[in-house]
Amino acid sequence: MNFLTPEALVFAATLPVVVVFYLLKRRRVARLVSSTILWQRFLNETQASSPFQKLRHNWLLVIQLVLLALAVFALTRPYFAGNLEGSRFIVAILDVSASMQATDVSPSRLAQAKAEAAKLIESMHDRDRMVLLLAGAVTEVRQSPTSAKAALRSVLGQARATDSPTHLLDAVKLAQNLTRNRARTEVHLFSDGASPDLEEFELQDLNLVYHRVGEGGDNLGIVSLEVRPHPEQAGQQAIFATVANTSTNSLSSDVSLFFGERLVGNRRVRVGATNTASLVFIASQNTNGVFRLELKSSDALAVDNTASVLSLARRNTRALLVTRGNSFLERALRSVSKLDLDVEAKFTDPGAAVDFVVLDDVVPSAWPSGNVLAIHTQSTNWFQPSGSIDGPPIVDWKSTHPLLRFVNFDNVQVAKALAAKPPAWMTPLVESPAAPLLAAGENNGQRTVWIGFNPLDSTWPMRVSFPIFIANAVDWLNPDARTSIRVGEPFHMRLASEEQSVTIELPDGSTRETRTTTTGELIFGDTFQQGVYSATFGTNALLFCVNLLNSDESRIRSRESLQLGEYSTVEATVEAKVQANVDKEAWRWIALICLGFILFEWWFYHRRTA
Amino acid sequence: MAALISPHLLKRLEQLQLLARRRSKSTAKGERRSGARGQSVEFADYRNYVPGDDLRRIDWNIYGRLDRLFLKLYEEERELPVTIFLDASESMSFGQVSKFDFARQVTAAVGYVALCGFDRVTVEPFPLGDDQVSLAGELRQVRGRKSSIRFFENLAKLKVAGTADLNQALRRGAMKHRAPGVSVILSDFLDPAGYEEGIKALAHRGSEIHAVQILSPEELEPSTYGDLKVIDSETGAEQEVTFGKYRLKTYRATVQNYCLRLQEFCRSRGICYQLSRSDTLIDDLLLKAMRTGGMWR
Repeated sequence: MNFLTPEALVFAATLPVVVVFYLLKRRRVARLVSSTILWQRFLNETQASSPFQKLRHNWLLVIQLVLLALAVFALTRPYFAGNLEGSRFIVAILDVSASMQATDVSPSRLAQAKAEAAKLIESMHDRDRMVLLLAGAVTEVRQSPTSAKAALRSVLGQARATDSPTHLLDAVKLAQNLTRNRARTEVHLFSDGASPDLEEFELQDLNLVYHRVGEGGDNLGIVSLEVRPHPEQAGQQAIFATVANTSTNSLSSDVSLFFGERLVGNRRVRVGATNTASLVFIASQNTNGVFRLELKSSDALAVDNTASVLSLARRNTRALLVTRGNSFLERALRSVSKLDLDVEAKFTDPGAAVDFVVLDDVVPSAWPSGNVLAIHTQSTNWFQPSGSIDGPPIVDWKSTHPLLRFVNFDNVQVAKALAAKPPAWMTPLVESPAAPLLAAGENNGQRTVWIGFNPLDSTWPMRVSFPIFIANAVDWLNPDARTSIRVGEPFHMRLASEEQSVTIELPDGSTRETRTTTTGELIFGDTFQQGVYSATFGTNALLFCVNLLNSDESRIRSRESLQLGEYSTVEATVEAKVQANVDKEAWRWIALICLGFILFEWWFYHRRTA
Repeated sequence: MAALISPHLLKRLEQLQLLARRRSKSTAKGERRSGARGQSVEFADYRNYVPGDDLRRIDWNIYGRLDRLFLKLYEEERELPVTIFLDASESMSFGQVSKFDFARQVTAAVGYVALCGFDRVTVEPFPLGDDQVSLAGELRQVRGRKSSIRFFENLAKLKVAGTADLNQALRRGAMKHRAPGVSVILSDFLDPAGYEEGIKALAHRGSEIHAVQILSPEELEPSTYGDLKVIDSETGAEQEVTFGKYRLKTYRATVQNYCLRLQEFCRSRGICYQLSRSDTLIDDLLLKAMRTGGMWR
């Protein structure tokens, strides 16, 4: 046996103090009796029969001296060297994604995972340390490295499942960083394995133990929901939904569509095994509101049985064309449906009165604050053209970009273009060997489409791709507000031109206070609950919907193995124990004996005088 | 009188008679048989006539047959001296029912039985305070049943005071009462100096001794626990003791040993011994225990 703090032996100097206390006169209760002769004989007889006569009055002293000696002994922190289990660094990752709410195991997957994790905590030895990560849409370090089992149990007990999809990749990468350059590390993953992004992770030398949770069961889930204006019937909305059956049995369920609290459609859907079914509802809409789709299915996972989408009543787009005269452009703009166009020869900033501004080969005195289609002109803050290029050939364009959908530059010739290098935030969409001819991008919430040549100096206005591009540009420069996001994604929207406070009510009724950025943009990240969120700012209110809509989460069959990278597979396993040489301290046991002595002394004292 | 003994108990006591194993050696006339020859109806012996003898006591029938003169001798009946040693020390005042009150009741009962039997009763209270000397005189040599009322009144006036010296009191009593009789000792026998010498002296005089040890329930089974400093009521001596329920058994054994030693001492000297709690019913002690112990019948 060795001692970690032998200097604590100086506390042994307190032992004589206890003896001194005993030498002091004890305060006794005076009692008049008829005669002390019986008491004297009683004391003589008891003392005579006592095996340790010298200690006859001092059993309490003996107990207290032993107690103090034990306490000093514990303070020296004695330890035994030997082969013992322990000294591990454990990272426990607890999956708290939506699929962990599944009730295919009783009471839920999360409860089972917590029970497994609790067992792991109980198996820890004195010097083992554990980090607890909660992996949902984002990974949260819920408990920094500690050996305190009580703290770990408390944190584990507080873990709640979110409505978000799993991103185990972040959690595993974090675990890899935490365990780097450490000896005897273990990473325990308590999950159902519903995280396809793990395939991007290379296992390397990570000691990963996968604790499989759940088994699998019947589940119908909504995996997509979208609302669009009916292409043929004005005033009608088409609601597109996809219901997936992830089980191996054919399932059927009633599907109800609500607008607000009003039922607008109900039908029965039957989905084949591991198949999907598409649903289209047509509903009239006069005001802004929320369409809510509900599956009346009592399956293993409830969170994917509901989805909501915000639908705004359609209004006309307002645009300002500043031109010295371009009939092709003006006609192309006017051909776009639901567009109110104003044409000016000189630019004055209309502010929020228009949705975007088209600058056709004019240089404004002040650059517009909103979205801009800049033709053969640019803000001086971006770049200065270094000259012009004659007859630049079009060598490439990005047809995948929304601006260039269905746009073809095969038969477009440009006579003259600006030689310029757009800023980094702009993406070149049409390029010539010398310089980009068309670029687009977003800077500080302001979308800009830049055309580096005057269309009148090209054959483009004569091609069918020109009005298509203009129509695409109108759509791109006037995007619908993105009012429906996935769980865990941040919500952002420009609300005003200046900073202001916003109150957001979450689906569970709780509220969060936040502020917009200095440019009036709202960025809200606490979107881990599925449902309708309500943001109030000033006298205005705004709704946005947060949905799971994740087929991986709806696929609740628990994975028996995890595919990590291209070559590695981790099978579901039971906990492995590590043998290691450690020094095991004994002070806890001594402290426990001390406690026993205190209790015994208490009992003994009261037994003597009661 | 009523305060000491109830009329009902007095009636029961009237039917009792003090037992004395030995013949009375008193000089005074009484109703007890004695070894002396005198005038009574009990024939004892013959002896030869010598000139000067009372002619009325000659047995003429024998003279007729033998032609010799013989005198008829009869047993003389004498009184029985009964001495009651009553412990009136401070320690006797303890107890829920005071030990001294209990001892006075027993004294009254023994005295009443003796007075009813035409015996001479003397009560020797000890220690004797200065204000009690005349009272003690009233309690000496009491005779006759008619004196019982006065006897009880004087008994009731006795008080406890001072420190007892049992040995000295018994020795003095033995010297004072030379005619052996019945001696009754009523005490707690809790004397640091002991009781042996006194009892021996009393027994040496040929007295028939009855020892009644009276202890209070608190002495037999204390109910005060904790770290105590017990103070002797007579001597003021202090004794520190830590006492709890778990030591009660040991204490009981101590008391039992003390009483057994006294009992053994008495038995070895032919002394009747009785232990009584002060809360015992007086009827039980007088009519059962003391009757069984040979005090009276």
